[in-house]
This record gives sequence, C-alpha cells and structure tokens, in this order.
Amino acid sequence: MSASGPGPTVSFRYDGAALTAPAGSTIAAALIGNGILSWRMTRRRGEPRGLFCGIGQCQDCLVDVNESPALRACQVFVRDGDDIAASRSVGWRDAD
Amino acid sequence: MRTEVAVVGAGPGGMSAALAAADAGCQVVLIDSASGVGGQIYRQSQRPGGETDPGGGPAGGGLPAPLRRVAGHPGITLAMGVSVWQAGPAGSGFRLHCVTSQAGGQGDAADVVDAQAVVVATGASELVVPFPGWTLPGVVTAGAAQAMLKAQQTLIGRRILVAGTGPLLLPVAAGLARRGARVAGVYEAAHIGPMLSGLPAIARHPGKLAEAAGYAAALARGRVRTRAGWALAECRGRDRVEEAVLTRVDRHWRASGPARVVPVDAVAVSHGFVPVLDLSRALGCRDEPLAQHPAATVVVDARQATSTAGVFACGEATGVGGAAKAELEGTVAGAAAARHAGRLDEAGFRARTSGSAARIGRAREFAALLARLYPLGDGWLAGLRPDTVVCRCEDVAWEELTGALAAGPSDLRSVKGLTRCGMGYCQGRVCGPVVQYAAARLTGRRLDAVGDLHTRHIITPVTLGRLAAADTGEPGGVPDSEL
Repeated sequence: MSASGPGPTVSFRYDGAALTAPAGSTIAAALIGNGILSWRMTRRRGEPRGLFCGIGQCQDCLVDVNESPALRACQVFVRDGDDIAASRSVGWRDAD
Repeated sequence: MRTEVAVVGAGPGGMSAALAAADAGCQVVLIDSASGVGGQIYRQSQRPGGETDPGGGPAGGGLPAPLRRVAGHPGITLAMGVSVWQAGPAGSGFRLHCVTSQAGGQGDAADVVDAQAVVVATGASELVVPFPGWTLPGVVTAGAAQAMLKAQQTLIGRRILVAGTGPLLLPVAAGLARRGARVAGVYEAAHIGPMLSGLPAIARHPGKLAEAAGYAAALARGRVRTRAGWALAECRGRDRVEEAVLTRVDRHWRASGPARVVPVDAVAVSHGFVPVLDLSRALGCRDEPLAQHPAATVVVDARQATSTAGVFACGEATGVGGAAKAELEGTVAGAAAARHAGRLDEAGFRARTSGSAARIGRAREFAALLARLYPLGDGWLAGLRPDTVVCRCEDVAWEELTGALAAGPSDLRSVKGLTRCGMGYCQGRVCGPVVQYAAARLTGRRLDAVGDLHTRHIITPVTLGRLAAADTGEPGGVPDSEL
C-alpha cells in the first residue's frame, strides 16, 4: 500500500512488531504503509479508528508513542527506534 | 520572539501576506503547524528527497514561482512545525502562544511571538456529513487522501472510491489514479458536476474550466467512472471498509433510484469546507454565520481588516474560494499589516494594492458560483440510522442528537451539554457543522439563526503543564473564559 521505493528507512515497533517505513513518514503513513488501518478504540462503543482528516483537526488518529500518550499520528513523524502502541491512553475500552 | 507582523498559516494566502508585508520592509514571522510552507493546496513532500506528487493537476503541484520567494526572503522568518495554541492582545499588539507541533508532545518546545499586527490565514477544514459506516477505518476525508499522497507519497488503499461533493473530488481522484491506485469511481452528489460546462458563469473563468477539464481527461484516460447525481449512502465492513453503497439522488441528495454496491479498500469523501476560525475568535474578530452553509466567515473590510484593529484576515477564513482568492486577499492583508505597523504610508499602501479590489471581487464571484454549484443537500439526514455516529469523538448516536433536539433546547450549547457533541477531543471541529445543520433542519430554523456549537477551545492541543507555564502577560495565567 505504501509507495516506499528506494531511500532511507527508519525502524520502529508497533504493538511489539518490528516494522520499517521511509524516513520522513508520519506515523499514520508508516502504519498505513504496513497495512495497519486502525490504532485506537473508541471509548463508548469500542470501535476501531485510524486516519480520518489527515490534517491534525479531528483527533481520530491518536496513538501512543514511547512515553507520550495520545499524539496525532497524522502530524508526528516516526523516528528510528520509536515504540508505538495502539492508544490505550484515550478511550481504550479494556476487555472486561 | 518579537516581530512587526505575524502571519498564521502558510498556504497561498499567508505566503502572499508575508511577502507583501516583508516587501514593504516589515519583519515577518510566518507560522504554520505543517513542516513546510504550501498549506493544503501546495503541500510539499515531507520525505527527504521526496518529489512532491503533483496531486492531480495544476492546482495541486509545486509552489508557484511568485510564492517561492518566501524561502530565503530576508524579511521573513519561517516558523514551520509550530502551532499557535492561544492568542490575545498584549501591550499595543498581540501575543501568540506557540508550541512546536511536529514534536507532537515529544519534548514540545514553547515560544511566544509578540507582533504589532497579525494576519489570520488559517484556511479551512473539510466538512464530512455522517452516513452509516463513515467511522470505519479506511474511510478518510478527500483532503486526507490528498495529503497522504502529496506529503507522504502514500496511497490510502489500492481500490479507492472518491465521493461526496465539490471541486476537490476530481483532483484527488486524478492524483490517486496517477499514483497507481485503482479509483473505483468518482461519485459527485451535485447534479451540475464540474464536467458540465454549460453555465455561462463558468465560461467567464476559463482557467478554472480548463483545470476541471484536465482532471476529467486524466480520469477518462485511466478509465475512471465519474458520475454526477450519485451519493455515498453507506460504507460496510467488519473492522475496515470493504464495500461502498452508492445511490442515485435528486438535487436535495434524497435517494431516487436503486443502490449500487462497489467493493473498495478505502474511501475518500468530502462534502465541502468550513473556515477555521479558532484563531480569529481568540483575537476577538467578528465573524458572521452563513445562511446556506453550516459555517461562518471572518468579516473583513476592503483592506482585509477584521473588527479587531491590527488583525487582518485572508483566504478561506473570509470565505472559501480557493488559492487565487487567497493570494489576492493575502497581498492586500500583508500590505495593510505593513501599513498598520507603520512601514507603508497611505500612498504606498495604495500603490501596492492598486487594481486588487476588482480582481478580488472576481475571485469572490467565482467562490460564490462554486457554492451554488455544490450545495449541501439535506438528503443525508434521511439516510442516518438511529445508531449512526454523529460525533466521532464521543460516539454520540444520531438518536441521541434527535432526542436532545426533540426535548426542546433551542440553543446548541444545551444540545452540546445533553449529548456531549463537541465535547470530545476535536472540540466540535468535525461534528459542529453537522449538529448545526441537523438542528436547523429538524427545528425548522435557518442555519444562521441556529448558530454554531459555541466551543471555546484552546486552538490546538497542549499539555496541562504548558497551560500552567504560560506567560499570558496578565495575572492569573490563561483567562478562565478560555479553559
């Protein structure tokens, strides 16, 4: 799905899996490029969400990165060594 | 940081304003939350060495030559990756509170910009009205699909449907097709699509007509099906979108024929734009609600001056009209800001803006024409199911909104309190126009009588620590009314 092509890449982890993405990727592009479309569950319904507005307005794409909770995946660049996780800091409905 | 003129938003309007002010001798700080200049329409690649995808045509390509002067202009300091989160008067000018947005909270750095004059060039955000399945992963705004393409050279899917209404659909579809996506059709709800050129009013803007024809030709070459008078009725799938349901609609977007089911792995949808007014409102600038669209526009005079002395506005914030209108207004706004800062006398201001009134008038005429060509129909309301989400942040269902409206509160602030629409992460940026439109239709009032959700938000997300540390220039920190 990604148009990764030749060029420098960065390595990161998403929910424990080792992945790569082209340098300069936003986290949203890095995840979508690896076939991952959702990285958050909504609070009331427990429905999966990912990219929506793509320009930092809607906050649907919130994701946890390293020690920082709830960052906008469409605005933040992935960095080498980032440990990214489906967001449990916002609206994650734990399995009861 | 101190400067004479701060321009917020580095799209075509903001860049033109920055150039006009700097050319008049001002020190200018040009601020944008994106990592580079261009705004949404001239969005540049964020990848090292990445060639900016033309994104479908002349309007989506690289920076026009006149705007490239922004880089390296001795009078312009670029503050890219910087978000203004609060703003207000300070001394004889204004103080903008900023955070570096690209770090996104990973060690966010704060700064204040004190300016004698401010140009608001904050652009517009996309309007998407709800339909069953619009929250499925893989369903994104047309602008998101285009931003991923232009800045990230990433396709949101392999088989992508483009739907909704407005002049953005064709360039987005053409850009996706050029990049190798299988575009599973372009479905424009309006009956007068951009492909139809019969209106004499359009013929008065031949450049725009040629641009639309270029997109249509590109799509025809790629054997992409384009249909006018069809609406996206539903998206279906388990954990992601797998099918899109399209229906033929009348001019009010009410279903008028059989449905067509199209297999997809992504959908790009857009129903128009709404001006982004967080900053103008923080600065106290008056805006007026529109009668035909669930949005408001900043009120400006012939000098692009807002109701707040020293604050000027240009581009989509004063009325959605595209890059040409933004650049023309930006040039006037920048010169007016320079005049306010004392760098131009009246004769100098007039010399730098002569002839612009007529050209701005023409650009606004075209904007009004577009609004008439792509009206927001109300048929989508009939397509909502009781459990369809209307507020994406708070998972508020359509039946909760209709229940609150039936209970009788006449103002949207009460509706917000009853339903939590507009109280989530996005603070009503997505559902606000939807709630306003639904309230108007369901209670038989005009859009401009209903008003908006009255959100009083911080302009961009910040940590509590940042709020606590803010130097607002007044005792007691950030005014209570803003929290």
